[in-house]
Amino acid sequence: MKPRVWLAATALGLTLGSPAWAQTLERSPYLQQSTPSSVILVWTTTQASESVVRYGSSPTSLTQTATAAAGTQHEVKITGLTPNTRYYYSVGTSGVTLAGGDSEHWFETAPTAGTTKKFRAWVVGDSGTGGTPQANVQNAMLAHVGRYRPHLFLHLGDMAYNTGTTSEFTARFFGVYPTVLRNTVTWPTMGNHEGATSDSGTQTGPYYTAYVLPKAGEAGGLPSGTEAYYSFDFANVHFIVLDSHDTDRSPNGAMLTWAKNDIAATTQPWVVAFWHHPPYTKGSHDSDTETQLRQMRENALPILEAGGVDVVLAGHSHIYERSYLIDGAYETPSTAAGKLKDSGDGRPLGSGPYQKPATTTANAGAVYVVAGHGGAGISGPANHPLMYFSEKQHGSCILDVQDNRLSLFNIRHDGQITDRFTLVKGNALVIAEPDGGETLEPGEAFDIRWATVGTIPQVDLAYSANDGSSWATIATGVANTGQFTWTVPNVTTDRALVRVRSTAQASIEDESNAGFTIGNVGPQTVIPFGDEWRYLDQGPDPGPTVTTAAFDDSGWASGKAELGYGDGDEATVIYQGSPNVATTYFRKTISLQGAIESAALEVIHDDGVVVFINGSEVLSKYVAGLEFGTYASAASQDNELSSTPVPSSVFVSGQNVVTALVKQANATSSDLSFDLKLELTFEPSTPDAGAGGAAGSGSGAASGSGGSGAGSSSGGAGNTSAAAGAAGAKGGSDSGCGCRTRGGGGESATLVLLLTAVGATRRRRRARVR
Amino acid sequence: MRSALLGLAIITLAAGASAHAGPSADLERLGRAIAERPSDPALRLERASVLRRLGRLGQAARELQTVERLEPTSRALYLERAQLWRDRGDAKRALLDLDRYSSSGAPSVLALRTRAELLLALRRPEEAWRDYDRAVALAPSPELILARGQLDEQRGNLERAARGYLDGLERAHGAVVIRLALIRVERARGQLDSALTHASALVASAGVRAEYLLLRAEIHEQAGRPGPARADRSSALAELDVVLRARSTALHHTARARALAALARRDEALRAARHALRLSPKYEPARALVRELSSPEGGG
Repeated sequence: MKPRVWLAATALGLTLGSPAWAQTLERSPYLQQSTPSSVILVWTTTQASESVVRYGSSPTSLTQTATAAAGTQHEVKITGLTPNTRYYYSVGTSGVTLAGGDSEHWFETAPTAGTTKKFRAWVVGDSGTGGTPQANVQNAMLAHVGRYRPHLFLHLGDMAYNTGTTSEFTARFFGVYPTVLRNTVTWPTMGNHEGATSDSGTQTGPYYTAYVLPKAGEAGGLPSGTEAYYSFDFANVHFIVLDSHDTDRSPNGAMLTWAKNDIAATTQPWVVAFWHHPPYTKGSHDSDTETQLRQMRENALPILEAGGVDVVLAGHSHIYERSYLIDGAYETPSTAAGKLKDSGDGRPLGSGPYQKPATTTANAGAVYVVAGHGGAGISGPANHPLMYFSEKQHGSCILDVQDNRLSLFNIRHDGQITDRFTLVKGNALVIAEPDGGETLEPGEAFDIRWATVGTIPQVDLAYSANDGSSWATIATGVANTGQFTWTVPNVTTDRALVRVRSTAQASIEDESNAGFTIGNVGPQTVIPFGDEWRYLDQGPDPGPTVTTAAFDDSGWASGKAELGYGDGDEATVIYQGSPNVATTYFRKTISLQGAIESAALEVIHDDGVVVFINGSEVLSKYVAGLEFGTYASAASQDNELSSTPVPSSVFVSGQNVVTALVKQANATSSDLSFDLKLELTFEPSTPDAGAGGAAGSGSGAASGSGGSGAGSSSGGAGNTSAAAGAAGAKGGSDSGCGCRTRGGGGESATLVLLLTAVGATRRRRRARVR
Repeated sequence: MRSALLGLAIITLAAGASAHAGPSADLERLGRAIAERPSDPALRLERASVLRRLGRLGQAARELQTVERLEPTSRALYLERAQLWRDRGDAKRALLDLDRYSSSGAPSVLALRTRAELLLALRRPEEAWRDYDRAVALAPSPELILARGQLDEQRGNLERAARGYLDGLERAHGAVVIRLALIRVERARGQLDSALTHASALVASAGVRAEYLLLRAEIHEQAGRPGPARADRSSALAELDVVLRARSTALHHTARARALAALARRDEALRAARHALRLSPKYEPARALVRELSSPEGGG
């Protein structure tokens, strides 16, 4: 039992008698240690209280409960869950919900290890300053991914400056990322700033208190016996997390002995490792001169590369740096000579993805990423010889994994995508665009572009308007030029995907890593404020069926909202009795076509109000009873605004009836108000029959990503385009974007890449590198 | 042993000789804070610690002198100064400060671990063991459990080592490195049934079991049970043949080489080991195995 539990239990003895409302949420709920069948929810309160999680398959059906010991830090493990499944939840006590119970609070269980579910992780390092750059980095990520939120949050350390105290954790980590943390499982490694107050040897201090990490192999991998270093599986990736700051880094020490056993024991096709101190960097730190960085390079990398590691992530150095595909660079100082497995840029539309054998192979190359640009001040020469791309700007990374394709891109704080690489194992198709986040217009001609690894003469193209639930053919058996001009169909969706598949071998395929938008998919206001309503303002009692759709209101009066009396702002003044009529009724019928994805309702009321849609109660405020003669339970403020999400299940295709009962506070209240707005977001619309693409443009050579015709193995013709040049080319250059690329293209390569991407894509929300 | 400590100090000094933006930023921050609160001993202690870790031991010592003037009986001062003495190669003064620290309040794992390392360097293993033992009681990390157990092993106290590992295994959530150490000790003291039990636990826990099948085979062989030994080696080889189709790593090729060598297929073993070394030239276990199998008496 951790010290916090003892402290919490002590505090509990003093405060169990506190009223439930006295509990205040300090850290909003966050997710830990997700497995295919379990997850741990953690939150903190200012006073000790019960630890109760309610969960279920929809926000309105939290039918199951899990509990844990009371305290101020609440750690509730939920077991018996179904893999790869979304659950909604609330946290609190047996009597009070402190957070959740709505459509925003959910978690998803991990896919079964070894399965090839598409997923993404947010990679952040050195963020915890609490400053504007940290906020901008998060906002840029959220804006880019939209609804395609990351499944994992990999934090590379230094999450709570300056010394990782409890209050710094609360303010600069949990207080900054609550909307991410409530849905995305956090997997951290300790940075040196947390190390100022937390100790890996004892696993004590604010870092170890905050996180509940696997020690016994609970999430996959072998038991490490410590939270300082651990491993976990997610889909077909094995993640190895090391402690480069405060644990013995010697080759035969406990940590690296465990790592060697762990990587030898995994069967996962991908291995991603991360820790704080980067083995290669020339940012605010120098990997040629600093002890921890050297030791991780010299001691950990030979083991990990011999075990087939694919990607290594680190922070500490306040910069973004991304290497070539490299291997065996353990010496000090680091040099590029003989270490580059692929001297290209790794970009699908550049010199093509980095390639590794279809089977996990030792020392076949890994890509090293320094993502210490999450919020702390950026600096450094940015000239490490093994780095293809370096940028002295704040940002974060998204790691996308689909079967045998792994991609990572850098989202700068201003939303620009400034770097991307893809790593593939064996033959593959890799879609470059649309790859998520684009907005297309129905009817426009859009160039779908992809890279090819291997010989794939013909491909089939399809799109989905519903995130892959169903697919519609765009074209079949087209020559694999790496590009196809697609006439965007007349659908409305923000969950569109494109898929390219080998005609001859259907298992070779790729789809957009995330969804893109077609048409205008924003919420539609189906009842605006100021709309016309039928109303019954002087009785008689309509009876309990008034809330149902079948009730006949044809004899009621009608008028535009705001309806009411006594304030002077009414569009329609209704009857004020003496004494007041306790209940005034409002009804409106709307016709809806198509499935509803989400709905939100706002109501202006004075005093109490209860709203029904098709007989289902969706909102109630200050209502003690529905009876005609029952007044409100309390007075509202003037024109009080209440809102709620509405379950989509209450709507039907066709006629829908909204009924509101507005309750006077008492017999003498001087005013009554009512107005209501209903916004709906519809499920993607049905694709047009026959909608599809024009003939292929045949311009793959220009895209730099085709190549099947030539039977090339990587990018084919693309190698002659804007791609990086010869291995280990000297120099590289700073460009106007504050970034630096290598590989012969230097500045011009970057610019051409950006221009190519921009020129080929319409209505792109922001520039990006493909 | 003082020279060894001095050597450590020199290495530390060299590593930190080149100042860089990261710790420099810490120093700048601390400098600003100390300018505002020059009599804050906590800030000066933190700066001393940063300076020490940068290898700027003289500056660290001067900072600690200031702390000593401000707060002469600070326990934190004792602990930081002990580490400074250690880094300077002065074990005796380091021990004095650690004793002061220990006698003036609750024990800390850092102090106990540091003192144990110093005592070991001074060839006072029993006292070092006691400090490790107390540290394990406070925080059963794999590192401390292994350090305590290895001390027992070095001194031939295998029974106590086994007890410590067994206890540590439970307290450290079945850490694989402790189980491996326990198996080593159980084999060394002839407790082969226990060793087998723990080897079987490893076999059951791993996705790829070959390493632990080979380990169990060695135990079977040691117990005079060639049949089960051969069966485990054959199972390991069969598994590796399958695994290597999907994971051609030096780790697995090396394991396969070991399996082949144990099955008296030395030529194949050497080829497998060499293949592992070609894949991963810096993977030391492969290199060692090639060396062993290449020698006239090696392998099998």
